[in-house]
Amino acid sequence: MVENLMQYLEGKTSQGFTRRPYYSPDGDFLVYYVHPDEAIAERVDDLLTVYRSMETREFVGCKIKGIRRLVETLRNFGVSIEAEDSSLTLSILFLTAARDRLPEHVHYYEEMGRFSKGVALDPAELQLA
Amino acid sequence: VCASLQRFGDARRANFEQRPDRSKTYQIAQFKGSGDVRVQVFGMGIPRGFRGLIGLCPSGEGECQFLVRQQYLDHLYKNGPEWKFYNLHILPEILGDPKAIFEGLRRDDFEGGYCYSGYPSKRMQGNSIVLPIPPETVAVVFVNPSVRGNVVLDWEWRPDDPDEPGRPEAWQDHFERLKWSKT
Repeated sequence: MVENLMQYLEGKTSQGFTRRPYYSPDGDFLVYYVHPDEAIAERVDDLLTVYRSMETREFVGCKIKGIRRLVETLRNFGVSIEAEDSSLTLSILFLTAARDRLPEHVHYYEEMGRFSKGVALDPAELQLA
Repeated sequence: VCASLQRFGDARRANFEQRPDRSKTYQIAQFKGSGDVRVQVFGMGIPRGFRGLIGLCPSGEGECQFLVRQQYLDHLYKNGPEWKFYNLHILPEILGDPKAIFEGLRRDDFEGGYCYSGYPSKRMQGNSIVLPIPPETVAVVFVNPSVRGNVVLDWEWRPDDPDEPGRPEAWQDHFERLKWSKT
C-alpha cells in the first residue's frame, strides 16, 4: 500500500490544540507550543529556535535541539532519568543548554525556562530511558 | 503507483538490474503516444512509520522521495497547533519547487542536513479558508538524509531575506552553504 502524505491528509480535520511537547527522534529536538497562534520562527542559535505569534509577536512556542546530549550532560551530573521518574522537565533542559551559551542569548533560555515551567517530560517517550 | 509496478513488472525488472535507490524516481517504461511513464519507487515500500512524498533532490537535479514520520503527523493532528497541521501542503510545494536549497544545518550531527526554502501557493486557515501567505515570510523545510532516506525533520515560517527574496533571513549564518537556487 502506498503510504503517501497527501492521502493521509485527505479529509482530516484537526482535533484542536493542547499544550503537549513532541520529541522528534529524527531531528533530536523537542518542540513545544503554549498558544495556537500561527507562528514565525526565530533561530536563536544551534540549540534554540523560538516561535513568536504572527499577530502579537509574543512567544508562543520553542524548539530545543540536541536533546540526547543535554540528557547525557544531566546524567553526567548524576541526575536520574529513568522511565518511572517524573523529575525530567523541559525547564531543566533549558537550564542545561544555557550553560555554554553566548551571554546575549542566555536570556532566551531563561525566558523559555520560565515559559515551560512545570512541563514534565516522559523519558520513555523521548526514548531516553 | 503500485498498480503500475505490478502491471509493468517486466519493465521494472528490466530497468532495475541493481537494487533501486528508494530516494529517486525512475523511468520504467515508454509507451507509444503516452509519453514517459515515471514511477516513484516509494510505491515499492516506504519505511514503516513514515509517509512519503516526492520533491526535488538536494542537488537540484531530478526527483527524490522524502519521508515524514507518521508520529509527528499524528501529534499535529491530535495536539496542533492547527495552523501547522493545515499547512502541511507546504511540504510537497516547497520540496517540489523551492527557491533555494541550503546544505549544513549548523548544529551537531546535522551537518549533512538540508533546508529548502520558498513560497507556497497558499496559507490554509482550517480545512477550507485559503489565504495568501504572510507578507515578508518564507516557508522552510528541514531535511536530513538518513539510512531510511531523506527524512523531513520540520517545517516553519521564517522572515524573508529582503535582499534575496525566497531565502530565510540570515541564511548565511544559519546554514553552511547555498547548495542550489532557482535561476
